Amino acid sequence: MMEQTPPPSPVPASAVPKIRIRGLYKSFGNKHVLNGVDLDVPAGTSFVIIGGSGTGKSVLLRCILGLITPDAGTIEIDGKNVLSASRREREVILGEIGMLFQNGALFDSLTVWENVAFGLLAPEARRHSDAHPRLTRAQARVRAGEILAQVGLDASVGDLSPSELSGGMQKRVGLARAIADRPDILFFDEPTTGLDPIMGAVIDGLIVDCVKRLGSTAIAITHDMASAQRIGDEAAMLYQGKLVWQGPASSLMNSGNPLVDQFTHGRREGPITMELRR
Amino acid sequence: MNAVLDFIAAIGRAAFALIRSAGAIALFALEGLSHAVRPPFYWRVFGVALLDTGFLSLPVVALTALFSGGVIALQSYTGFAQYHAQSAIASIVVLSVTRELGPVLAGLMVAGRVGAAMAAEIGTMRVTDQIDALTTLRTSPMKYLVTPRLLAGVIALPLLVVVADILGVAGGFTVATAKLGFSPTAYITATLNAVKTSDITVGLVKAAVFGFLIALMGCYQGYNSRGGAEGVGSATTSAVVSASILVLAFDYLLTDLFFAQ
Repeated sequence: MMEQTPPPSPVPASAVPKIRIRGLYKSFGNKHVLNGVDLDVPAGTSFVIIGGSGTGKSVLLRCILGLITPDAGTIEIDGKNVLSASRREREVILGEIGMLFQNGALFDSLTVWENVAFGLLAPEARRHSDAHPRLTRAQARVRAGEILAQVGLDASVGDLSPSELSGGMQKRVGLARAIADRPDILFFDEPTTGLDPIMGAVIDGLIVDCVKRLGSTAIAITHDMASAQRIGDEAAMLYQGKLVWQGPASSLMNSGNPLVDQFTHGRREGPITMELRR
Repeated sequence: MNAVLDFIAAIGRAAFALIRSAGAIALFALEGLSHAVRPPFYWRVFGVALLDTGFLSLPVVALTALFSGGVIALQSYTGFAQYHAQSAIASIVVLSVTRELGPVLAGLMVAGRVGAAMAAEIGTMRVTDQIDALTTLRTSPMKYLVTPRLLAGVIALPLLVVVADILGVAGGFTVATAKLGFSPTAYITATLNAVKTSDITVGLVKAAVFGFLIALMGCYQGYNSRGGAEGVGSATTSAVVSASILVLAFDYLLTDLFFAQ
């Protein structure tokens, strides 16, 4: 039907990618959201997944995080299959991952600094972390102030409630919470959605800074092309539950793939058809 | 014939749905309780839940009990005067309040106030990804959100019922002495003679069960809410309705268990 470029292997076969996904399927009733996703994300890479609304980008991230159980396939992090891992192994793997949710997902009942320091204070989170022992509340508060400074927020913001913050500030606090435990892997779910272009660029800049400073592997999902090019080293497009193109993020606007070209340029005509009921 | 079969099928589907829901709620309760005996425990969250469920419910429970005690005194006087049995009013008030009205009215008040709040808070956390965020921060949502609230319900309701019992009797005493002309000393003596320790303890056991059920339904409905603001609204309504029905149903079962001869 349409030209589809199979995802090239970005790493030599001998190297173990940070994240490796093979044959991932997930359906909700009759709706097949993921339809055999294969993906390799090398360590230290900032990987962007683009795709239209409802194409399964968030579902893919949630499968990797263990929030959704896929119907079939394997997800390996550092060579370990997450899906067959024991509860304790999964807790350890989760400890390597930080997540920035689309709407921030800040805890309403806690102050900003408590949100940022949540993972540093949570007894369950510290249980298997010998490298980063649990902090006292006073220590965590100081640490939260330092992390807030890294995302361009004053420590005084820490005493506010999340509902008192603007959308951009909430995203920055969400980012601060995601990087607080210095994770090896960072996930960003639509990091610039709902922000004005300038604030979107600010958030992208902070994301790039954080990823580089921590040396983390990052996966961002977005349909903001400017954001995708700012954040990503590599990019891929998810369409009808499969990755239909993969390449450098810098070539997103001239990929040569008709699906990607139509999407990135926002053309109505092309191989992608919207299911509109009239 | 087809209409009859359709009717039977509809009843069967409803029965299966009810059984499925009961099973899901039972498993949810078991998982919530299992975290109570597995450390770590979130004392701060438990303290906040205890404050919300207990202390902040005090005014509404106290006023309800006070007026209910007064109403029972008035109503029983009206009825019993026909048979010259006014002297039984003190025992009627104290037994009604400690055995039934204290726990049931406190349960219904707390179901409306706290059950709804739990469902709304947890439901909002569900639809805004806050529960998923807890998981990504290696914190069990059941351990963090559900277990402290279940325990707070079990502990707070009996404490509220102690207050409700005292104020309910005080309401009856006030009406009986100030309006109906009873002697304060005689009323207190009759009250103390009528009430047994078991009346109070059974009322407190009922309260603990009601507290658990209210917190369970609030947490369960909130935890499983879907679909944004509308879903949270439905979860809140379901939490209050199901908790209220369960309070009344378990009141009957516990009364039958403890008092039926």
